[in-house]
Amino acid sequence: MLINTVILFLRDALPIFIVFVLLLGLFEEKIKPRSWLYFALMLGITLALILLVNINWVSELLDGTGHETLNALLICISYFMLISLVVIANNSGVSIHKLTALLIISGALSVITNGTDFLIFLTGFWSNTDNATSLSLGIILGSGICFSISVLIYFLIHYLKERFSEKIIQTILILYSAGQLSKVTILLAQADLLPATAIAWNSDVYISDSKELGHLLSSLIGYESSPTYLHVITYLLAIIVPYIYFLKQNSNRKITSCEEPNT
Amino acid sequence: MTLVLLLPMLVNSKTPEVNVTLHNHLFYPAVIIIPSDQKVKLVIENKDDTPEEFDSFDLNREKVIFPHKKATIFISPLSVGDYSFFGEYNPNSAKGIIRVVDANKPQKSSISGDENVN
Repeated sequence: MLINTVILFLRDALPIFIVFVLLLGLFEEKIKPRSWLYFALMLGITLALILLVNINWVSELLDGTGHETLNALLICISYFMLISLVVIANNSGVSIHKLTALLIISGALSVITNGTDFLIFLTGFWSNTDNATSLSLGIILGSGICFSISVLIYFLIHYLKERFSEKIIQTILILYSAGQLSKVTILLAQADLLPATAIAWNSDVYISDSKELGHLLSSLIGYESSPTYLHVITYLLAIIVPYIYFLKQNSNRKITSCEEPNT
Repeated sequence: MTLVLLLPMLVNSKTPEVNVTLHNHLFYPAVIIIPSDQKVKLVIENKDDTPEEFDSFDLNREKVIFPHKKATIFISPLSVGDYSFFGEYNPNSAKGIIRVVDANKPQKSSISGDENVN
């Protein structure tokens, strides 16, 4: 039970820690107080608990595919929020209030989509007093591991920002968002709402989904050892479409600056 | 080991359905035989008092099954081979295999021995 709790906590909580660290690294100079982080956590946990209370009837909707469908919808919304934040990171003319609201909602969505399953596990086994100690220790250990990884990523972000540019952090955030979005294809294929496609490749021999590196890469960039073609296409589109938008924005800016009369 | 044979369901155009029961943190049957290149609907009934998460890295499927409830998972057409699954919350006991066989080759069916790989 102890090891299982640690593994489940890592699987579900690590993506939450990673997204908060990425957003912190990207926007801490624009928004000095970090209160948005605590609001996002509180809002996310509250909404996750509300979902948990209603999960029985939600999961029975749409012929038993309610949970997958809701999760897929929330992940899509989360993706658009995170890409909007990357756009804002490139644009200095956005109000602090709007930026704070987007950060809170993005953080909260990450907590809901990733944290609900762990809450189901916790509430399901907490009632058994034999498990309570293992669960508590597992959560403490899992939190410690997540915090350690987050601190390392936080310092890496600062190093990359100083050594190269903020664009690298934006790229990592886009990769993270694309990874989360591509999981929608798995959810919807499981619910028979998307057609099943063949497996594109199997890299399980090199980096297994069940090993620690596989879990870390899955949380960071949505790594799957045996993705379907639809999964790969979704992932690539989720990266390419924002970049096309940025290239178009940059070329519009260059045209505008060329058209301005010389003083 | 209990073997569940689904090849006759190929003649039926509806998605073939396999019923699996989870009881005392064990899957029954633990070995499921399905034909290759055929979508299959897995219906898992949790007879325990605690939730379980059906998880399979091989199949890229994971779903929570609430106590005394059923959950449905669609498995995409698969090539011949063994695909393992397990209960994420009780991985040492709740384990199973989906064995995909060539639909064109005749298979023996037998029900004998223990119902669980453990």
